[in-house]
This record gives sequence, C-alpha cells and structure tokens, in this order.
Amino acid sequence: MEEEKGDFEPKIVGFTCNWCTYAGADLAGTSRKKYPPNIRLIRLMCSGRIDPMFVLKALLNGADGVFIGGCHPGECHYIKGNFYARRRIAALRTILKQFGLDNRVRSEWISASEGDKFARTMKEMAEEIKQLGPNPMRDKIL
Amino acid sequence: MAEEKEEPEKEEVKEEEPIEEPKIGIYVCHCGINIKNTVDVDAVRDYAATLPNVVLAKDYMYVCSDPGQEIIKQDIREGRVNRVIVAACSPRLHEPTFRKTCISEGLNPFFFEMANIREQCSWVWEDKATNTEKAKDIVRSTVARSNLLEPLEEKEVDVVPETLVIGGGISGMYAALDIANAGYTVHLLERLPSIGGHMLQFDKTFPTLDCAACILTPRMVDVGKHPNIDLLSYSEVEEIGGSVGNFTVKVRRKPRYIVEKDPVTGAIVCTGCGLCATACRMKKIPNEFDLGLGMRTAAYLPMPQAVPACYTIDPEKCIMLTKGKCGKATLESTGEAIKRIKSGEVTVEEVKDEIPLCVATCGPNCIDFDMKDEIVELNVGTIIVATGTDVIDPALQPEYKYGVYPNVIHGLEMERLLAPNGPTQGKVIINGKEPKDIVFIQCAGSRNKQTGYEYCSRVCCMYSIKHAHLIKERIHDANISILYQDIRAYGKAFEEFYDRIKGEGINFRRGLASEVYQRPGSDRLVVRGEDTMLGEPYELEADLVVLATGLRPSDGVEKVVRLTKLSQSADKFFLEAHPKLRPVDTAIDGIFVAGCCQGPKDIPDSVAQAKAASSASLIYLGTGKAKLEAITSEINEELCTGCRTCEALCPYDALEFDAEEKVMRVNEAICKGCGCCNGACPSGAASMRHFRDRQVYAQIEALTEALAPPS
Amino acid sequence: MKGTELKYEDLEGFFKGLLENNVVDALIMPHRVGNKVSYMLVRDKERIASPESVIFAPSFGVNAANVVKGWMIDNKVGIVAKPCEIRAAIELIKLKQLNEESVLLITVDCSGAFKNEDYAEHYPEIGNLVDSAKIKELEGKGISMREACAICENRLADIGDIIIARVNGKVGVAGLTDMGVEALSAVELPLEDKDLERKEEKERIVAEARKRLGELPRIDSVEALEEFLRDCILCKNCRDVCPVCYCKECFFDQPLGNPAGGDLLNLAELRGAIEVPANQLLYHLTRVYHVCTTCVACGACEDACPKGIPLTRFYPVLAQKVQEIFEYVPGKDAKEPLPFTTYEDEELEECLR
Ligand SMILES: Cc1cc2nc3c(=O)[nH]c(=O)nc-3n(C[C@H](O)[C@H](O)[C@H](O)COP(=O)(O)OP(=O)(O)OC[C@H]3O[C@@H](n4cnc5c(N)ncnc54)[C@H](O)[C@@H]3O)c2cc1C
Ligand code: SF4
Ligand code: SF4
Ligand code: SF4
Ligand code: SF4
Ligand code: SF4
Ligand code: SF4
Ligand code: FES
Repeated sequence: MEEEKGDFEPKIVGFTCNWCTYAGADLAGTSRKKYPPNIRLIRLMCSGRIDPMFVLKALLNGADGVFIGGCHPGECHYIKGNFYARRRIAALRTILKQFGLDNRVRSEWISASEGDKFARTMKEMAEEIKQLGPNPMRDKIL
Repeated sequence: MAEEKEEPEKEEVKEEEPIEEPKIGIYVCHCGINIKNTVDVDAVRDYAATLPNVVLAKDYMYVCSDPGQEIIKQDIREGRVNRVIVAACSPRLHEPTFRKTCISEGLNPFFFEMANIREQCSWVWEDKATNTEKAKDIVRSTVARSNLLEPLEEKEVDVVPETLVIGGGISGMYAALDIANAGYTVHLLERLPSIGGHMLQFDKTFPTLDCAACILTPRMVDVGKHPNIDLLSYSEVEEIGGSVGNFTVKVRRKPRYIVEKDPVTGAIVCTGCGLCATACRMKKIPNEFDLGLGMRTAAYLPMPQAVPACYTIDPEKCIMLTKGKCGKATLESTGEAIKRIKSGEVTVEEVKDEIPLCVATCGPNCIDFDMKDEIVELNVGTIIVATGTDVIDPALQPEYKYGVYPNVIHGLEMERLLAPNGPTQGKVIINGKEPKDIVFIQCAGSRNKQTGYEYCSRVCCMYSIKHAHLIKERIHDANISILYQDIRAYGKAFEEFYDRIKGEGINFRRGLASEVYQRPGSDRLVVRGEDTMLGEPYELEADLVVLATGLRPSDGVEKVVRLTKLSQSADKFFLEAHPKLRPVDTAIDGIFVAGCCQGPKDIPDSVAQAKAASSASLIYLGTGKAKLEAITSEINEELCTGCRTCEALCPYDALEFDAEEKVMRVNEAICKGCGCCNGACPSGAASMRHFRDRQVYAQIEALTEALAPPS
Repeated sequence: MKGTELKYEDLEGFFKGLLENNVVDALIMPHRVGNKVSYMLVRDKERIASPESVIFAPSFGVNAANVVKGWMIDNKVGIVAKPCEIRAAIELIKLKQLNEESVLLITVDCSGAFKNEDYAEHYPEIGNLVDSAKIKELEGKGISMREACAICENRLADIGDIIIARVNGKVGVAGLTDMGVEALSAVELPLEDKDLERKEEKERIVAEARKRLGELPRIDSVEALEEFLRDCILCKNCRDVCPVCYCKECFFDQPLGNPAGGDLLNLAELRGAIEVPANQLLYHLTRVYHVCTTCVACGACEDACPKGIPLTRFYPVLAQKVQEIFEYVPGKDAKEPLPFTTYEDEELEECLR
C-alpha cells in the first residue's frame, strides 16, 4: 500500500469478553472519553473463548493490530477463563515474536469500571501501530 | 466466510426443521442526536441495505421506543424479516429489550443482534466521516454474524421444592427458618450433636452486648420444632450429584447410640433428662464446646441448651464402645438384657450387672449400642452452604507461646471463660486465680504472611474490646491492655462501642507484641514489643495473655469443596459469583453461600447473608423452575478425540467424559457458556453456540474485508 | 533407579523374555530389512534376531508414537524407540490418545540419526551404531545427521518405563517407573541400584545442540516466513506424520479451515483475490500453535515434506520458545499437566503486551 509509516489509519480488530472489557469500552463511551476510531470489537462471552487462531486469522487477513481484552486475572465472570486466555496469548505472542509480529498483538485486562483505561489503551495502541506501519500482509494475496 | 451458506449441521443431532434463508432487517437508530450528530445515519442505512441477505434497512429516532419497536414487530409479523439487527447502543443495554420484541412476534430471540454504534462509535470520536466508516464496519460485521445465527432454546427444569442447608450455625439456622416459614421443606444438616454454631459459645455479643444465648436459644428451639425443618444433626454430607432444581444428596447420620425419635411415629424418645450422663463412668473428658476448659462424660449433651436435646454417646470415649465392656456388662450381655427389659421379662434391677450404668438409669430405655451409620438420601432443588469458621491455630505463632503456658489463651477460650454456661460459670479464673494484669494481642494469625492467613478476620478487634469490657465488669481493678496494629471498628455502632470502652480505662497500645515469655520462677508473663506510635519498645507484665485469633474456613471444608465443586478464593473461603453484585450466589446455579464460610464477618452480616441466600433460594422454589443458559457449548462427536483438554479447563465441571464412546459430553444444565472449551479444542469439536468458530470467523472476515488490496 | 548391565548380545534374550513372560503382548521395535531400518510389531519372539544390531541404528523413519496414536487397547505393547519417540508417546498419554497402562515404554539411547533413506544408502559406511567421533567423520564425508538430531538436547534415554543406555561398551538397562522395574524383574534381571543419569554427557550434548541451534538460519520476519514456506503445496504430510497432531479431523480438513467451491468464491469476492488451495501461513502458524507445547522436536515433519522444506527450523524451534515460557518439557513426565490446561494465578504478564 502507498501509505507510509506513521501516516495511515490502522485497522485494529479487538476480541473482548462481554463482562469486563466490552463493558469497559461501553463505559468509555458513556463517559464520552475520546479515542481514535481504529478499533472494532468482536464481543465474546469470555476471553477464555478466544482461540489464538482468531488472532492469526485477523493478522493474516491484514488487520494492522489485534487487541484482546478480558477481566483482570481473578475477576473473570467465569472464574478462570482469562487465566487460560493468558496462557494461550502468551504462547501465541511468543511464536509471533519470531517474525516481529508480536507487537501488533496486545492484550490488556480492563474491567467494566475502567473506561479510562480502555480509551487510553486504544490511543496507545493506535499510536504504536502507526509507528509500525501497515501490516505487510495487507499487500498480499492470501 | 461471511457468506458461508448454512448447511444442515451434522453436530445438530436433534435437528428440527432446517433454518430459513436469512432475511435480515436493519434498524439504524439516531438515539435522538446521540448517534445522528456524529454518524451519518442515512449513509449507514443505505450501506447496510447492500449487505448480503439484508432485505430492508430503516432508520428511526428512537428504535427502543414503543413506536420504534412497533416498526420491527410489524416487519416480523408481516414476514418481511426473520433476523433483526438494531444498530444503536450497546447490547449490554438493550439486547434484552429487543430480544423480547422478537419473542413477542414469535421470532427466536437469538436471531437478534445489535451493532454498537453509540457507546463504541458515535460517543468516542467527533469526526463524522471516520465515525460513519467505523459504523459501517460494525454493521457489516454484525450482518456477517447474523447470517450465521441459529435459533437457540431457553430451557427450563423443574425445581424440587426443598432446600438443603449445610451447617447449623446462626447463618444456617436463619436461612432454614426463612425458607421453612415460606412453606418449603428444609433439611438442616449439622455435623455436631447440636445446632447453634459459634455464637452459642459467647456470653455477650458486640456491639450491643446482647446476651448471646438469650437471643439465640429461642431461635434454636424454633428450628428444632418447625414442621418444615428436617433437622439432621450429627450428620455429614457424603455425596452431592445433579444440578440446580434437582440435586441428589447422600447424608450420613452418625450413630448417637441413643434413640432420638421413634423411627415410625417420630415421637421424641430421649427426653434429655441427662441421667445417663450423671451415671456415666467416663467422667473427665474435655468438653469440645468449652474448648476443653470444662469436662463432660462419655454420654453427653454438648451444652444445656442443645437442640435437639438428645444425648449422645461418644464412640471414642465410651468404654463399652471402645472396649466392649463397661463395669461387668459387655456388649452382648447388654444387648440381651435390653431385649429382655423391653419385653417386660425382667426388671432393670434384676439384670443390673449385665448392663452399664447409663442403661440402668435411662427411664425411656433409649440407649442402643448396636446403632449404625445411616445413609439418608435427599432430593433438593437448592443448597445453601453455611459451614462457618473455626479459629486459626494460635500455635502458628510460636513466639506467643500458646500451648506452652496455660495463661496464654485465645479469643474463643476467653468467650467460654466469660460465659455463664461455661466451665467457670462466667468467672474469669486462670491458673486457679483471678488475673489482674491482662494483655490482648490483636491480629493473632490474621494479616500475616507467615501464618498464611493474610486477610483481616474482621471480628477480633471488636470481640477483644468486648472482652475487655466484660472482664472489667467482673474484675473492677483489672489492668487491661490491648495491643493492636489498627483498630477496625467499621460496622454500625462499632466506633461508638469502641469509644465507650476506651472510656473504661482500657489501655490501647499500637504495636503488636514480638514475644511472650514467662518471668522465671513465677507464672507471670512478660509481653514485649514496640509501640509504633511512640517508636519505643515496651514490656508489659501479665497474668493472662489473650490472643485475638482470627477466623479460617471450618475444619473439613475441603470435603465440602470437593462434594459441592464450589471454588474457593485465595483465602480458602468459598468464592461467591461476584464480589459485589452476587455475594451469596456461587459459580454453581442453585448453590448459595451464607455466613462466615464465605469470609469472616460478624453476626448481623452473617444473618443478612443467610436471609439473602434464602431469598435467592426461594426464587427457585417459588417459581418451581430454573432457567438454563441457552448459550451453551456442544461437542461434535465426530470430531472429538476424547483428549479431555476441555474437561480439565471447564470452570463448572460441565463436561463429562463418555468412556464408552471416548468423547466428551456437555451437561447443558451446568454449562454457563464461557467458551473456554471451544477456545482450547484444536479441531473445534467443542463448539460454543452463538459464538461458534464460523460465526466469529465471519466477523473477522467482514472487519478485514476492506483491507484487501484492490484486485 | 534399579537396573543392571548387559552385554549387547544379551538384549535378544531380554526382548524375547518380555514376550515369553507375558510382560507385554507385543513389541514395536526396529528391525532390519537389508540396509534399511524400519519398525515391526512382533508377537512371536522367534522373529526377534540380533536386536542390538538395529535398535541403536542411527536411522529415523516414522516416529513410532505416531504408529500407536489412538490405540486405546487393553493389550500391552512394548515400544522400543528413541527418546523423541517415547516423549511423543508420553504426550499422547496426556492427550488420552494412548493408555498409560497398555504401553511399556522402552527408551533407547540415541546418537542422532540420519534420514532413513540416507542411512540405507550409506549403510556400509555408517554401520549399526555410531558415536560422536564417527558422526564427525561421516559429516566430513558429506553424510550429515538430520537437522532435528543436530539440535536435539534429549538424546540420552531418560524417560519412559525402561531405559537402555550405551555405557562403556555395554548396555545399562534400568527401570524408571514401577511398571518398568516390575518388567525387569519379570524377566529375571538381577537388579541393583543403578545410576544412568550421565550428567556430564548430557551437559555436553545440550551445549553442542544449543550451539548447532544457534547456527541454524533464522526465520525472523514475515517476509522470511513467506519465503520459507513458498514451496509448500499444503499436502499436510507434515501434519500426518506428526505424532502430536492428534485430531480425528484436522481443522484444516474441515470446511472452515479448508474452504472450497462456493465458499472460496465468496472469499475471493470479499478480498478481490485469494491464494489457492489456501494460505500456507495460516495453516503452519496454527499448527505450530497447536503443537507448541507438545512438539518433541523429532523432525518427522521435515523428513515428510515432499518439497524439502526444512521444517525443523520452524516447528521445533518455535515450540521450544513456547515451552521455555511454560518451563515445560514435553514427554518428561506423564503426570505433569499440559500447559494449556492449567495456570498460575500470577504469571506471564510480561508476554502479553
Ligand atoms: C471469639 C469470637 C467472638 C465473636 N464475637 C462476636 C460478637 O460478639 N458479635 C458478633 O456479631 N460476632 C462475633 N463473632 C463472629 C461470629 O462468631 C460469627 O459471625 C458467626 O458465628 C457466624 O455464624 P455462621 O453460622 O456463619 O458460622 P458458625 O457459627 O461457625 O457455624 C457453622 C456451623 O456449621 C457447622 N458445620 C461446619 N462444617 C460442617 C459440615 N461440613 N457439615 C455440617 N455442618 C458443618 C458447624 O459445626 C457449625 O455449627 C465472634 C467470633 C469469634 C471467633
Ligand atoms: S478438547 Fe475437543 S477433542 Fe478434546 S475432548 Fe474436548 S471436545 Fe474433544
Ligand atoms: S462453555 Fe464453559 S461452562 Fe460450558 S462446557 Fe465449555 S468450558 Fe464448560
Ligand atoms: S530427535 Fe533426538 S532423540 Fe530423536 S532421533 Fe534425533 S537425536 Fe534421536
Ligand atoms: S509437508 Fe511440506 S508441502 Fe506438505 S504441507 Fe507440510 S510443509 Fe507443506
Ligand atoms: S511438529 Fe514436527 S518435530 Fe514437532 S513433534 Fe510434530 S513432527 Fe515432530
Ligand atoms: S493442525 Fe491442529 S487441528 Fe490439525 S491435526 Fe494438528 S492439532 Fe489438530
Ligand atoms: S468473562 Fe471477562 S475474562 Fe472471562
């Protein structure tokens, strides 16, 4: 793509649990916190539902970034889903790291009351990914 | 695969009619100006109309209003749409509303979806053009998902109108009474011979200084004679199966060796006269209720107010039961003789050498040494766990010398010394004399990484203050010091109580003791530590040191954890479903927690929780139905390799392995739909309804679609 | 550990004894067909001849664990194989694709191996067994060990029920588990305390392996990965031979993972153009995630690739990184839970962002 580093609007796909991070994103909205419109969330019931294949799929399809959000460890609505999610994401990012793709994947624990943190994370992430430039996969025929 | 056509699914065993070709209706909401101001609603609507299987796209000022909902209803009613998407606020707000709209027109509510273009779009950025693009993306992703939705069934199960309460302390009793008063049967299970719990061990209760027995015993009696309460004292749970609505429980009734009730008529047999205890040869047995400070016999009632008022013979202490012989009588001779007495063949006097003293004195003849464990099977709709606490072992802090010097005691022992029904009839006597210098050490065991109990036990500050006052009442010239880290007087009327007692000349000193030792050649103790307020060391002499020991989950809690499959929090107390909003619910539907088993608390909080748990239970009992989660997982047997990975993960134990077929099965009555199993299953054999791989994939495709290079 | 020392030629009696005394109902063990080494499933003890000439042979064909994968049988089968194969068998036990009670795992010391076709071709030079000096010498002649073996840290038998170790011109046989010790007693081996841990040798092997790993070309960017997989034709042989890929129907054989026909056309419409048969990256990245905790670095995938893609540089190398963060060594202990089925309350936060 002709877009240059730092000067493009990244597309970020997010996977969040319904109970904390999705609710936190809603709270960011209700409290009118502003953050750049790069993120589109896919709502799942729990971060434990996240199959790392989702992340791979999004990245290989050209998403510039993937965000994963769940309840703080110990506060999962389903008790321990996010503990499993954490292991899976850690493994996936370890793999992606070899190809320098890990910094396009970020996960945060954001509770339903942390609208602020959600907005902040989105800002940071958009910024970071702008620095990385568009996902090289965007150009590929896949 | 946004447009993957639904093929009838092989995993759907009980496949009804094939799913109709989607006809999606999209309703874009202005939300007054909330969306309209920063999103081009018309553009979104027109864009939506171009998406696959979207048959109509409309916009409206307030879709959630009655007229707004009416538009949707009409479209469904007239067969124009069979799937509905509302592009508006968050599904967390209005998904339930619109699901009802669908239901009212006979459309399966799981064909409804929301596109969140307010909270996650119009409200968080100002630029209308970018917001509009974002809103389109969100709608496209929602359409992709909508195309692949399946109808789901919200199932219900019948609820057996009975409850099991485990633990007969103040919490268990109150929970049982409320449910029984509402007209439902309650089985109240207590492992000890009497209900009452710890509260019965106290003289007075903080902060009001009510006499504990005076307020508790009438309630115990209520429980004992309530027609709806089946009191299973001296019993333990052995097995719990089933799920909400119908738990099957096996209870083991331990033999008391004294007949409580006539098995046929239910009439009371043991009258509680206590002659057996008076007669019993085995006298000097430390009484557990008095924490070993007082003595009992082998045939005993733990405390005079016991409910049921039936005596128990301690199988570990009665020599007839341990050695088979008491006096001249043996087990055989006793059995024989009892038979003959009952048949009227002989009088007690005639066989008095063949029977032990207790049998000889028992008027109603209720002693039976052949009594065995009895297993009772129950079916209950709900379970309330109220197993309470025990005190932390004070010996975990060897520096305080508990167990080394008899004049170092713990808080609960202090309660017994103060209680009029206690071993000293409420006189504070230690080492045979009245102590003058008394030192309380707070936070014994609690708030301490070394002992492993890092939490605050919440009652010890207040009970020590109470103790100080009660001692002062009895020993006016007592010189009392309370050594503390912080005084936690957080409850209603606590601070006032603390203030009042401070005024009674009690010496409060900040800074816990570092060690206790005995003055050589005397039984006086020296308590050493540092005053953190003054920043200087202190040394206090004492006749009595009271450790304000904290609370921990009661003995045997591991077994209850295993049987109920409940989770524990890091402090090993039972874990509630949500710390704030669902404090008495647990991860398992139909099982509730009440009182100190959920965490240390005082009596009012315990009672409040007990009443909350009973009301939560009553919702099930009253409606007679339990709704099951519709969004559950299922296992595609053709794909499942039986690796049991998912089973290890499921937070609710909803997965069972079918050893015959070597595949997993989901117990849909238990599954909560977290999807952890699906997230872990490599081949997708475990599949979460409503969030299936292909449904999520479709959303990913839709959201990344625009990223494809121009062809 | 309890064990004893045998002469090489005593091994025949030992294996025969296992069958004779009904310790096992069958053995899966290497046998020789001309120059070639392959596996046999043997029930008649008379068919076992000079096993010492073949069980140490530096030749790798199939991973023996892949042969028994999914055999949920009641009979008992002894498996005589190299450490990586036995490790895979242990992972399969954890994945419930093998009954722990129905296998007797007999691990044989490995010196590193050649692809079975290379071995057969150079048999006259390689012989029945090699040591490190010999390997160097062969390498000088251009006959090199498999890459997986060059970076293998676990060549010494140290897992399974029984280990067969090469020590000072003899073989040490020892039982590591109760089942193993019982089996040895059943064939009446005189058992005594035996230490076959060989710490120093192990350290030497690990050091050498790490060095070789460091020398492997790295695939360090997406572009490099694409280049690496350029020739992949998605035959999925690498999966089929992988002992720890255990699905009844692989995700990539299902419609979602292997779209065809109309689904593909739809996708092409969405994205303008798509690669067919499908995207190699998704397949390989997903598969490496699926085996990242269980991959035993046997290199079977590489051997099986018809396009000669050096998959060792991908699968075992990446898996090892993941195994490091979980401090997990696949096949070390059948009792240890699989990393994805357990967790610690506090961990891994540094790996998330
Ligand atoms: C020294 C001390 C002084 C206190 N003073 C006060 C005070 O003045 N005021 C105040 O408000 N609070 C006070 N408390 C706190 C008070 O004790 C608790 O709030 C109260 O006892 C909680 O009641 P509960 O029913 O939850 O638990 P418990 O009283 O512990 O009752 C639990 C019951 O369950 C039974 N049980 C346990 N496990 C099983 C099982 N597996 N099967 C069957 N039955 C089982 C036990 O035998 C027991 O009868 C004090 C606590 C202590 C330690
Ligand atoms: S993880 Fe998948 S394959 Fe394994 S038992 Fe569960 S459903 Fe079956
Ligand atoms: S969805 Fe969650 S609760 Fe249901 S079976 Fe799977 S892991 Fe268990
Ligand atoms: S990978 Fe290791 S154990 Fe396996 S054949 Fe090669 S050297 Fe031997
Ligand atoms: S064996 Fe080789 S060609 Fe076949 S799928 Fe694997 S890497 Fe591709
Ligand atoms: S991925 Fe390759 S090296 Fe790893 S276990 Fe499978 S076949 Fe062996
Ligand atoms: S690649 Fe994944 S889905 Fe396919 S067989 Fe291996 S583990 Fe199963
Ligand atoms: S529900 Fe939020 S992480 Fe599980």
